Amino acid sequence: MGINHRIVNVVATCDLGVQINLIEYASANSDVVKYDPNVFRAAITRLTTPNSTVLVFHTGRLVVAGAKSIEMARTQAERIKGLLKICKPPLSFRIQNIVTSASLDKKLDLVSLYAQIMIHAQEKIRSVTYEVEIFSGLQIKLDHGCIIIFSTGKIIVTGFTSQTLINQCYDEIGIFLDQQGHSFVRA
Amino acid sequence: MGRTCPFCSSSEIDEDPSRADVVCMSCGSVLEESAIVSEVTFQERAGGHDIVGQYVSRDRQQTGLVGVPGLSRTESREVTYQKGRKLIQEVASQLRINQHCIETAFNFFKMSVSRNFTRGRPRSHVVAACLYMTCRLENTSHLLLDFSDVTQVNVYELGKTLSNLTRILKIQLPTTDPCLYVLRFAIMLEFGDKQKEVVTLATRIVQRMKRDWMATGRRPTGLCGAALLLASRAYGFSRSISDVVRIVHISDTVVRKRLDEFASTPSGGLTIDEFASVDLEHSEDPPAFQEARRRAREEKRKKEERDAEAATKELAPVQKEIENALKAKLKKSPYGKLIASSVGEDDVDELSSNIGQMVREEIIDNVYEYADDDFYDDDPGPSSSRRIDCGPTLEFLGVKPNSSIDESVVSEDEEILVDDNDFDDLDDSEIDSYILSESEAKLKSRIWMKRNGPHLVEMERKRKLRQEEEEAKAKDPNRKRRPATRKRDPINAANHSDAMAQVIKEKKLSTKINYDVLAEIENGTLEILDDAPRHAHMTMPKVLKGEQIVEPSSPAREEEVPEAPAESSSPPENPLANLLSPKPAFRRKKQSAMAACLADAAAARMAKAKRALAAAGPPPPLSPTPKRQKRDQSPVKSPPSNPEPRVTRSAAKSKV
Repeated sequence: MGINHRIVNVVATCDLGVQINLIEYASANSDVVKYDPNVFRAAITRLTTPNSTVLVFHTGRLVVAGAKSIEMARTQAERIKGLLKICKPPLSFRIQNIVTSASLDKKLDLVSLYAQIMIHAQEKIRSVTYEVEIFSGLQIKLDHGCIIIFSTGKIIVTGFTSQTLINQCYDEIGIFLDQQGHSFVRA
Repeated sequence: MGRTCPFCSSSEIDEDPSRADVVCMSCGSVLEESAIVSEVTFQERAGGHDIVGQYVSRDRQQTGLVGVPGLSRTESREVTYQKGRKLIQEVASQLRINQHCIETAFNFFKMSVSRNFTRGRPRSHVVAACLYMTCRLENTSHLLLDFSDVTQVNVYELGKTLSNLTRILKIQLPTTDPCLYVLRFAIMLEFGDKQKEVVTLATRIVQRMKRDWMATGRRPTGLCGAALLLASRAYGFSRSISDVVRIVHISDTVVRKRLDEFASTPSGGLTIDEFASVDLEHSEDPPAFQEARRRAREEKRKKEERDAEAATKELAPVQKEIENALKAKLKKSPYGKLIASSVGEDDVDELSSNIGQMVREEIIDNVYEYADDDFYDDDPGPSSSRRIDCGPTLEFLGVKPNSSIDESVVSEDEEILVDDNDFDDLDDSEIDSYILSESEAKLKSRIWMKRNGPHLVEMERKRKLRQEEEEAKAKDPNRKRRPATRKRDPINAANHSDAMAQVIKEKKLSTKINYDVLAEIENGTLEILDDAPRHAHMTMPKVLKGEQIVEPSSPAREEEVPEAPAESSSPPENPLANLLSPKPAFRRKKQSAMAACLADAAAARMAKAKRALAAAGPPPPLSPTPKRQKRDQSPVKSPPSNPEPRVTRSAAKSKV
């Protein structure tokens, strides 16, 4: 049973390989760039349509945040490259984090879910935390990512760096729900 | 000890530390001899009783190996354990955790030390986490917030440490049940005798909340607070939200929200008794879930509305066509003739059929426009004002404006005519035909007046009548005045006596007062004696002594008696001056009143004695006559005597 998820945020880093004069860059594009070295040593570029934020460092490295898909992150990096008028291709482009969310549209009893997970202690699960006084969601830490489950049926999968891993993760959640869901899922 | 005797397999084994024996009770076999005991024994020595042996600490190792070089005196691990134990004791004593929990927590601490958990972490974090873990396992009502308060550490950091510790020690903590905290907070809220019932009800409410999915993911204290609030109110304790907030460590918005959520559940609608007895089967969705669903529904509805609007816009031209066709049909139909017949064709002969037809069509168009205004309200201003003045005005009918008609209305109508209608499709000749000439105007006005004249007259009459009524009402002398907001006229008086007199007159203090006598006092007709009270006292023993003594002094007394009460109650100075300072005079009044009563009695007895003597006949029976005499005399006596104290008393009361 597939769970439909959507990507909410993609964070990526890019290395353009060229030293950048941030003051020049900021003054040239002052409508989108904010550069205050006393506050932070990077130029904050807010691009629109589609919306995202890019941090530009003087070493030529970028941090793209707020993109809604991996391709969009790539295109935003290309746009910055265009703004900086750099011709050569970037040295590296790496996705650091992808945040996705999904909704089951069912109520979940987190107490019994917690119990079930502890029973089926898998190797992949590093830790399970359900501490009501601290956070209202149940947090499952995996090797490369983290799953947060709320009692309203909303699921957040975050920390993964590739789409395949995310899909894998959701598949496993789906399997677990199918098998053990009767104990903690309430429609 | 679960030891069994190897010989007879009985478990009745007796240990006697004084003889250091372990003996089986059933078969008598000795199982141990000269056992090593941890009892304390004393020895008699020169200085007194001394303890045999040394205290051996359970934890600390022997530091007896002093002489060996290279061996440190105190081991680092021991030091760590000591310090940890000390801190655990400190924290636990502040939170009133019992000794057994402290021991368990210390064991956890030792485990965490052995797993290098204490390295790189503040000791207070580790200690708090160990203690909290113990409390959770023992199901005590301690919150992580309490530990945070005591150790002054951020609660989220403590939470992180705790989750790390549970992971490292591979311990699964049971989840917190809100019902655990109810009793603790109830004690703090001080319910007195009814604590047990309140706790029971609150626990039931919390269980209901859990079933209604209000509890998952929520802080247990919030639910507790709301449940306790409800339970306390149910039993008549007035605990406010701020009280609960202070004790439960949760903000008041949260408490309010929980209350609202509970109120929206079906259980929230039950009364207290119903709730106590009935347990509803159906469980509610969690509130966030409901919110999300509600929002989705709202979105859907809005979308449908937008679609509906688009659809109506498409239909509009088609609708208009249909209406026009219907209108044309109606004009020709007999019904249309009925509507338009109010023009008054039968009244006026001058109206030819053509003009009549045009007027009729105009009327029907007008009717349609009024009807359509409800649907196509694109110009709300003029149409609304037009709606106010629904009947066809003279202006509209083409008649020249009369001076009697309100100018503003006319101007409005003129504006309407100018703004609304675009005369592109009409040419001038048609317009000219609409405007009536002088004679036609006169004719029209005649017709209209004939129709509506009586009505206008009626309205005028009514208006005049209403005006007259209002005037009459305003002038009405019998108009009921509100007593509360009456303004007091300032009293202008020469001295206090006059002032008092004025006040008394104005207020009409009491109906029981004879104001004439009061007036007499004012005018000073009665003599004032300085020693009036003393006089009354002096008469007393004379009266009591007997009638013989009464007689010689009787004539003198008789004169004095009617005056004495009056005088005794009037002080040396002006009687009304006393009213301004009632207290000392009041006492004197009382005395004098008493004296007056006694004087009354004395006078009565005296009079009776006199009569007896005068009659020289058989003495009249004692019982009826004194009373009768007293009664006879009382109307004479009472005006001077009784009202005096009463006047002053009541006046004093009122003035004071």
